[in-house]
Amino acid sequence: MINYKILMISLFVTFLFGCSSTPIPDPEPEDTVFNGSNIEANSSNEADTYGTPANGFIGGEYIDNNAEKLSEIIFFDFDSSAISTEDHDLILKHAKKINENPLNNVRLEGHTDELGSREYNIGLGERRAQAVRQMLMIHGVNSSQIITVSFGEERPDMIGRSEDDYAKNRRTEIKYIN
Amino acid sequence: MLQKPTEGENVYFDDWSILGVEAVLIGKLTQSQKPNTFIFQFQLFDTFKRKQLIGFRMTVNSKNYRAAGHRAADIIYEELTGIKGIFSTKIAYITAHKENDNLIYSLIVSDQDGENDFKIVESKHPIMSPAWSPDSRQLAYVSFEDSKSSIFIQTLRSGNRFKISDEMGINGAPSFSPDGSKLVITLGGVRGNLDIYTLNVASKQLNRLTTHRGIDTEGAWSQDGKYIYFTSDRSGSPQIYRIPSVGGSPERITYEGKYNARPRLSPDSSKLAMVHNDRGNYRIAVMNLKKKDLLILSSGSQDESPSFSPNSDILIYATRHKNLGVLETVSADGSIRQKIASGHGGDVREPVWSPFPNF
Repeated sequence: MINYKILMISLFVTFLFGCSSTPIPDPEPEDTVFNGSNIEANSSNEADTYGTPANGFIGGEYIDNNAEKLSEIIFFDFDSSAISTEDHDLILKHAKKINENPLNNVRLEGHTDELGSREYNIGLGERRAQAVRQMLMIHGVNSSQIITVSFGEERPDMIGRSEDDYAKNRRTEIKYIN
Repeated sequence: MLQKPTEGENVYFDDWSILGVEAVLIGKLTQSQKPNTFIFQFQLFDTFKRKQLIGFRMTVNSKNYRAAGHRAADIIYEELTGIKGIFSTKIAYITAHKENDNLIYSLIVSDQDGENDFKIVESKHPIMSPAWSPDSRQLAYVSFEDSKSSIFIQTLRSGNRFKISDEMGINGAPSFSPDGSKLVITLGGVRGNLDIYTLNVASKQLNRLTTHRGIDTEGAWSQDGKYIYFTSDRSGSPQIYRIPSVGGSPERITYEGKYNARPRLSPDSSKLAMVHNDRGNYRIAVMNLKKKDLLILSSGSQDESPSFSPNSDILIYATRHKNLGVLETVSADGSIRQKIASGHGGDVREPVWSPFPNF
């Protein structure tokens, strides 16, 4: 499964560089493309092609068999900005990822369902973005790497009007803006 | 008897008063010397006092028939009721419609009946919270076009606009002071603590009015400029408070129910409109500021953004019809409700009624 993914990514990269008019670059640029932004790509298979660091120690990290793209959405209950235990773990993983690279900046976008007054909902959405911000900072993320924006009810993910749709709209999206 | 007089001397008062008709309005349209231009005149008579109450004449062309009709209606309405008419007033509102999977947001200005609509801003980023300047010449609004909220002031005639507030974090909920010199706005800052500020439009000087860590937003001025009414959830649920506009202690205004937000004062200062949660439904309610009783005016489940007509007699607000936001008006006593044509198939929200025009 993982090998398949790596193959896909390699093919994708080949495709990207293959399309550009410049000659195919040596492997270093690929390293910067993948470093820190994709756990699968940091597997030993890829590291082989990057060579050994000058100090003689080999970098890298353990492969997480369950590694997958981190979900970038935290959901909230009605009229609440409390973060669930599962989402706490998710935010911890994001904190790690952000801390890996000082160039990893995130924008936390808070959203609400459409119930109630619009400008008040801007406040509720901000509260949800701030709840995630606080938790990232507790886990060591520098405040300068985080900005928050609240869209209130103005940018719903679901345009339906069922309780399910509302639940999907009550969210904070973690957006990486490197 | 079927008289159809067009001249004052042809109005036979006895024939009308015997039928119990208190007033007769006559009018005529005559070709003027200029092409495509007409003289439109009307006269209103009191049949019992046997005299003209008011007469008026104006030059009209095909471009201003509606405006002329509204002007005439305003003059007649005021003469008969003693209350200024709102026929010549405008409304502004926001629409959102889908275009290739993206929502497109527009700020629209139209006549108060929804006709004659004109788009003044369009954006693929949200636009919200339009607010009229007291002279009806400008609108303040919030735009997310810079990937964050900022507040703009736009002049309607020219389309020129400038950014008046672009602080870190939230910039929202603008509302002009009665003299037009200031805005009340909401700022959130880096930590996202929404508070009420006044902002001098000319000098851009900010004055912070609230500091509570709860949400303080949706400021609105009293007509005398002395107070700012706002929404705050400092008590645990959103309620309406007021604070002196130069700063001071907030005073809680609403106690009925768990959700009262978006205060708007009637221009005659007698009533306070709000969004009120009535057993799970968000509805428009009006509080009589003297008696403190709350009257629920609308019947939807997600009604929002109440705004008073400049004569304080009618409110406009957004409601849902077949899952789409539409506009409705209701008389301030709740007796007459009316749908407004608008939107062209998009979602319509946040109507705000203009002040009286200056002729």
